Amino acid sequence: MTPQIAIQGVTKSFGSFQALKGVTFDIAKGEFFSMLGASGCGKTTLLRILAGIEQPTTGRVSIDAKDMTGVPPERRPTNMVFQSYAIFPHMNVEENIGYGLKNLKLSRAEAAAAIAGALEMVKLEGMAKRNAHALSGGQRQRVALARALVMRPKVLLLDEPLSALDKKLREDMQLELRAMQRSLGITFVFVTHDQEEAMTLSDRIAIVSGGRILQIDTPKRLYDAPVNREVAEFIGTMNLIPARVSGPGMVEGALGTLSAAFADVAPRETGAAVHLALRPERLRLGDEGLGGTVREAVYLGDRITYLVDVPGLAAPLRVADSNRSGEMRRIGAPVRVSWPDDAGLVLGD
Amino acid sequence: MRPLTIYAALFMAFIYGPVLLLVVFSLNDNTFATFPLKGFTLRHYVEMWSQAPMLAALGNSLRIGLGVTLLTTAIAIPAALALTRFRFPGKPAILGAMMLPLVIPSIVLAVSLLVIILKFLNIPLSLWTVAAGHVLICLPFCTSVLMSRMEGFDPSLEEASRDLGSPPWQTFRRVTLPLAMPGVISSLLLGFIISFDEFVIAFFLTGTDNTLPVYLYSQLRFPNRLPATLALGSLILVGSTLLVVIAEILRRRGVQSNNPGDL
Ligand SMILES: Nc1ncnc2c1ncn2[C@@H]1O[C@H](COP(=O)(O)OP(=O)(O)OP(=O)(O)O)[C@@H](O)[C@H]1O
Ligand SMILES: [Mg+2]
Repeated sequence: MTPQIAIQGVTKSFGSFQALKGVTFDIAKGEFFSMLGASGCGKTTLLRILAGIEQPTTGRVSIDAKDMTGVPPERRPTNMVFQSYAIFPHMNVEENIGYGLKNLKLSRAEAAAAIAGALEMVKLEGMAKRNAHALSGGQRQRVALARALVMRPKVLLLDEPLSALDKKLREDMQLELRAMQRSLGITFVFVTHDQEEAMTLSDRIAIVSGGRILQIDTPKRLYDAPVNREVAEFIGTMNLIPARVSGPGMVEGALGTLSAAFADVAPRETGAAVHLALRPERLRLGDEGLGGTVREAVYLGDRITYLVDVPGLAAPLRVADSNRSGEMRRIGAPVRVSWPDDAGLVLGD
Repeated sequence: MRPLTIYAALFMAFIYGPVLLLVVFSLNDNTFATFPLKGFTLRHYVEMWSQAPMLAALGNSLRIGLGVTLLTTAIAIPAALALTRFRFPGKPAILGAMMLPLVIPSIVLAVSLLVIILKFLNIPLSLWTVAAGHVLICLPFCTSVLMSRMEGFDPSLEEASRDLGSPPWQTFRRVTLPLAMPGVISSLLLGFIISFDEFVIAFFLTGTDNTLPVYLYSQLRFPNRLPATLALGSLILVGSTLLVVIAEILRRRGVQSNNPGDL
């Protein structure tokens, strides 16, 4: 993997507020890289720094091994889909999409073909002459996407580019984006709020929180081995049980002494306060394990989610039952919860 | 009639009455602007064209107005851009200083300009010095009109343009200027109108040539020339009304096609 983008110790301050608190990572050529994080955590700020619209306060960014410090947006091999769309209001759809092509010195026919292709890609055929102010939110978003895609940049920066689309269209566009990214080998840096979208599309995902990167990993690794409680809660759902480290591979808590996998590499001292983390779908209801009572049962068809009260635990355990037996347990019924040895993860805060 | 209706009627009469009176007298078949009206005539409008000094003054005013507004708007565009786009130390002070001529009485400004021009710069008074004075008083008006327009649109539009490969000057030409166009048109009109009917500065700073307001003032001593003045006044009234209507139509069209509010 040749890193296409190298981000080194980037911080960004707005006055006394630090929006990015030291970010270092690489993005590989042709990678579909996503950033996932709560509102205000600095995702847009980082994209704007990659695009050259903002300058980092400290640290630097290189693209294709070239230091980008001081290189203005128009001379970077990047294009961006703006979170606010930034559609030019004095132009129609076609002129918006063709805006950047004018700077590429294409022939008229080439430009027309590129615009037609982009329109088709975002399913806006027949809207070429529509005025920008006559577009719906979702249509504007697709024009913004087409306007950047048509430039075929080496790096495409997408700031929540599908957020305004309905489910069906959004899924279609996800497939289109993924296919296009593969066939053209463009590096995508994709910002989203939607963890499912990030999991579906990405080669790797960065979890961002409060201006820092918590973890960068493949979707599978993020789900199976989150580095801390915050990541675990961000991706999917997780049962967290307060516990203390009692020895190598062992924790002790309200449930007694249990074996668990230590996900993070840092060795933990005996007695350290941690959480035992269990994914709901790794838990089984059966004849053995912890005794408890069903507090809530939600029938979802492909699975049933139970909340099980266990004596000694403050929060009920969430159990996702695969509904193989087709039988549903009643509220108040006594049950036993168990899990395989490798299901328990030890997480710090 | 309801009280509000009466109020509105009185209000309109108060504002437009004198102006309409001007038009009425310009069409009255009498050398003196008095009632009762004697009859309808267009002869004042014909006579007007034989008054060479008045036409010369009109020409001067039109030329100065046009030149002043073009120059002022050209200066005001970058100023408004800088003041709306960038944050820099001392910006409030600069903003305040730029707007100051708005509150300085023009008589004070005129006298001080006169002193500067004659005592320090040693430039003879002429229409050029009048124009220079007019640029000074128009600048704050034109800048604030442009600023209010430029504050109205999303800065990410300019960022998007840069991102799509347009360097700053091209971004200005392809995005900023078209979006600011309604403001530019307002600025051009405002500058022209301020210069065209400005009296005090023109009176102090002009040499042997007159602008129209200065000329008209000097003619008040000759009552028999009044009707031609009224005729000219009526024509100017029609002309400026047309100008404002056209500008408003352009502005509306501009707002409709690039309403910054919904993008
Ligand atoms: N120009 C600015 N001046 C001051 N503060 C800013 C500026 N731009 C961003 N911020 C602050 O920096 C933080 C990160 O903003 P950013 O737009 O990067 O968040 P985000 O992760 O994209 O959020 P969202 O998911 O809501 O889009 C926010 O707290 C924001 O208020
Ligand atoms: Mg954002």
